[in-house]
Amino acid sequence: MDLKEAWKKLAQEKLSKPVAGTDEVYNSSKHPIQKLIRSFKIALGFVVFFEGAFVYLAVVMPQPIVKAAMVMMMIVYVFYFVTNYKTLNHIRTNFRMDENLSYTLQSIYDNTQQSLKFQRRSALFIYPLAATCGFFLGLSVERDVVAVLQHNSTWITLLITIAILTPISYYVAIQLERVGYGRYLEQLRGLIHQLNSQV
Amino acid sequence: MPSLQREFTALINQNRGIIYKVIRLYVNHEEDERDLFQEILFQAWKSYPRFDGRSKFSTWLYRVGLNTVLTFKRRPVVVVPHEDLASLNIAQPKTTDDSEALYVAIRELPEIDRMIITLHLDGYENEEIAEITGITKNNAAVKLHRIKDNLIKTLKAE
Repeated sequence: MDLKEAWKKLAQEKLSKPVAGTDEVYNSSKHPIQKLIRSFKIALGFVVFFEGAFVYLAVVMPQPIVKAAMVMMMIVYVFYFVTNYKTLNHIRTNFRMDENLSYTLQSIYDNTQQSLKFQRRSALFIYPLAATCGFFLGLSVERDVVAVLQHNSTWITLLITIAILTPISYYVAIQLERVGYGRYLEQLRGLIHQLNSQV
Repeated sequence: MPSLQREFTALINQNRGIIYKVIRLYVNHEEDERDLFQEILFQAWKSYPRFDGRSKFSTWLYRVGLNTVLTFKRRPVVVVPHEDLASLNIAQPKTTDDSEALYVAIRELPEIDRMIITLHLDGYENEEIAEITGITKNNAAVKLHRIKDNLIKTLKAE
């Protein structure tokens, strides 16, 4: 059999038959990378929302120590914003379906994993800080925070709060990460494996 | 309609056969066909501003289509190799049409192999195949040789 001849006939007769679908381009995609992009956009939305909340609290709360705590949180959230934005930007610029597929997927997968790993590690320092800020904020509703901090019992309560909230927050964050990114990263890993094993 | 969109639509209209071909080679289900058609259009439209005209639009669209189809989550297709069917003593309809036999044989290949052989049959050089698939030129040549051998063996066995 002449392969080229048979292919020509196949291409003309069978493969050129129109398939169902409209010509209109809808702004929706089921691609795992497109879903990752959406997850990062949602994360950035939350970061902006919380940043706004911290700015508001820094303005309205009268006690300087609480204002300082809110400024610290604002700095932390700027850091989150930059990290997430950089990753989103990397995915957007590197996600090219008209380029080497295996390289594109691997690069996006590695960069996203790296970013999430970095955020997970830094969270171990940030959560105690956030717990402390929240603690000061709560105290400031009815008391003078600086005065209350003179008592040892306050520091012990703060340490217990940090000890309880840090692992819980970390656990919740990991679960949210799984929902927001995990399954798409898993899908990507599967695709990379499939491409590499066949090539 | 903005000029970029008009230009894109015109090019898609001229080359829509490429999208049909990619879909027919990889998808069986009508709903998947519709979704994949939309996904290829979407990905092509997203990538179009970066299309610099260094290659032909048809080559570029072929690549977008193949990359999209390989990363598209489809309903699993159960492919039963001919040898397995033979061992089950199930009578296989004999196809006398070379192109139909070729179609069946190509559909039995692993997806990347399917991509390589169809690019070759469409007249792409090994260098272009290597560029599209992301493998080396030598690897493309070796794989192509093996795929062709297997394909011919399968076709002879039918």
